[in-house]
Amino acid sequence: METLQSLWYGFSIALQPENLFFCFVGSVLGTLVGVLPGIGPVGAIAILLPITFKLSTTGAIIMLAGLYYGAMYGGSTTSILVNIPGEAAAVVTCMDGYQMALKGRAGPALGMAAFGSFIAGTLGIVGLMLFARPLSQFALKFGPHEYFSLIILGLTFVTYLSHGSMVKAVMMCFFGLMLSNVGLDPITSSPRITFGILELFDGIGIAPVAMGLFGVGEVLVNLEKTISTQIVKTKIRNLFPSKLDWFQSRWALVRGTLIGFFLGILPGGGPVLASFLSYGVEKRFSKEPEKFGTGAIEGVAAPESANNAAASSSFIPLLTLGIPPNVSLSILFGAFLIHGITPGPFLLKDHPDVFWGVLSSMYVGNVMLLVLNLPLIPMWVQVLKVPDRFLYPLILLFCLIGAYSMNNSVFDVYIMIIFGIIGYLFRKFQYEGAPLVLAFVLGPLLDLNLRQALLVSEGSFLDFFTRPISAVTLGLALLLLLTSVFPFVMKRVQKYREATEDEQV
Amino acid sequence: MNRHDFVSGLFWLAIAIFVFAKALELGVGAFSNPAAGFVLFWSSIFLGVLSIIVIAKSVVKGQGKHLVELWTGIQWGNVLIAVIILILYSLVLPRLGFVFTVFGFLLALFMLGGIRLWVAATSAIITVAASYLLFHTALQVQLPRGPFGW
Repeated sequence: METLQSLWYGFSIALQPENLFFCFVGSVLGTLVGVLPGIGPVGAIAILLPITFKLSTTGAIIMLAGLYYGAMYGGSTTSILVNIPGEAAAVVTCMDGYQMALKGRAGPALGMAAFGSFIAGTLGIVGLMLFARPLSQFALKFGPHEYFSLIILGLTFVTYLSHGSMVKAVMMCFFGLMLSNVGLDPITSSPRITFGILELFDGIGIAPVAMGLFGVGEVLVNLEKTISTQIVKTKIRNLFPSKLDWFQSRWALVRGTLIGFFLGILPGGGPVLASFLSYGVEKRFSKEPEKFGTGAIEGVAAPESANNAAASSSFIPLLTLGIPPNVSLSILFGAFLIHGITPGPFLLKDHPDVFWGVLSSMYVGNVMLLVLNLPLIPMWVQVLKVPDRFLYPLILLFCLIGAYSMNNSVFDVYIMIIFGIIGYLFRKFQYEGAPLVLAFVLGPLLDLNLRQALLVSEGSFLDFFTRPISAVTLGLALLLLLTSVFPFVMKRVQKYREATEDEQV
Repeated sequence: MNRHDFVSGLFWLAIAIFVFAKALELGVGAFSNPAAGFVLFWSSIFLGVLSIIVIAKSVVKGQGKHLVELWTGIQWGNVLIAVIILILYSLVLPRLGFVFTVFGFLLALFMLGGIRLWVAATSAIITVAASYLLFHTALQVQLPRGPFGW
């Protein structure tokens, strides 16, 4: 009952004209970002972040949140029509979505993606609404030891789920921690690695780093390629899936939603992992697994519902624990801090207008996206036809304006360009920016909580393992590390055995 | 020795050593009373160890591509020119202001993409005007002014 009253209060905020406008702008821009390959939601949130400084906190978060889950909707359009995912979570949708388009069924594929996203996204928001309050109550028991352990778990997940070398991902985590320490020490106010530069006393901003790594870096990488995109030349008609399509997809939608919801909560999980896992599960459960990859409607319904459910549920750890579970929400976390609000267990109590306003706006945004995505598909197709040689300079321009507008300082532009070059080199030398950004955002919290915990326990690390929540959390992190190292160790043992047997022969 | 992992490993080892030295300058403190350089100290040690592992893997297993391979068969010149344009933009912006700098920036990048001069110039003018109206007028973003006040 209390939850319903709070939700009603949230709607009274979300349905204010200015907040409706921000939700609309965020959703449209998010869909656009999702449609266009190249700049993903991370880069887009980073680029738009400085513009939100002029807005109220609620308005800013509503717009950025709309951008985040809007990108999940938009990513499927390019996957289905061009076979190029608009953003990472839409990679799997390419497999069957594009095949459906080649068979003249682009309309039902796009329709199922939109409806599946709406259903799963709405259910994800319901879950967020139900879980938020109990989780916030639980998080009030957290002290410095528990927060430190939770951050370690979050960082461990990210490195575990990295696409390339885990060693390199862990290195980037530590580099991110180092970067987060630049500036004045929060406890002693001593300047750390500032080189005497005044602008560095406040530390390095998250927006120039993220815009550089994911915006500028991505454009630079694309500049060296010459890929021409071929849009499927078929008239897109009849966006409504047939009764047979709904019947065939019913379990894909349910399972995709559940998988996405639970994976979205976990640090490091999120929409990308959810979409891959749900596709794999559907193929495993299907009576005709061989049709996956040839245009199976379940192959579109499952990943699209999973990534949207995950996009909603990933707000749970951010809003209730103050732990951003993925890179996009790390920047959103930065947005909260810039507006003077710390997400976490006290958000619900101290800023219920922000919490319930944002949550209610997600319901509204979900409806807007369903309404926008279906009729506007022909428009998105036209947008896809904008040549890259016009698009990339515009993206760079938005990045430059965004970086400058943060503090009206060219210094932030320098930082962004430096990280743009770093982002480009990362891709060449096969390092990942995501662990760096996550560690960069969580670094100040980790530093503060670790030092406070050690002060309280007088230097003893035992307290991390004797306090129940901290012990369980660190145990999970250790288990994760061991399971990731285990296959590597087994491979080495196997090789040694084979080499020994060969010698004996 | 010219493999990309060897080179990147050396780079990160250098970063780790630098940060290690800075952490010692700041003071590491003790476990019971960590100082400002505590997290930097331990981060640099871990980064250093991991970079040595990357270097070792590159030397022992010959892992990683040759440096030349990373830039073979691609238009790396475009990237270099784009970076130079970005740097020039940031240097010129405080002096010439938003309008002129952005015009030059867009003109250069459009022409880098192979667009003809008059199309590039027209597109740049339209984009400068639109972005000025959007960011400065509508969103009230303070953009740097040039010698003519805009």
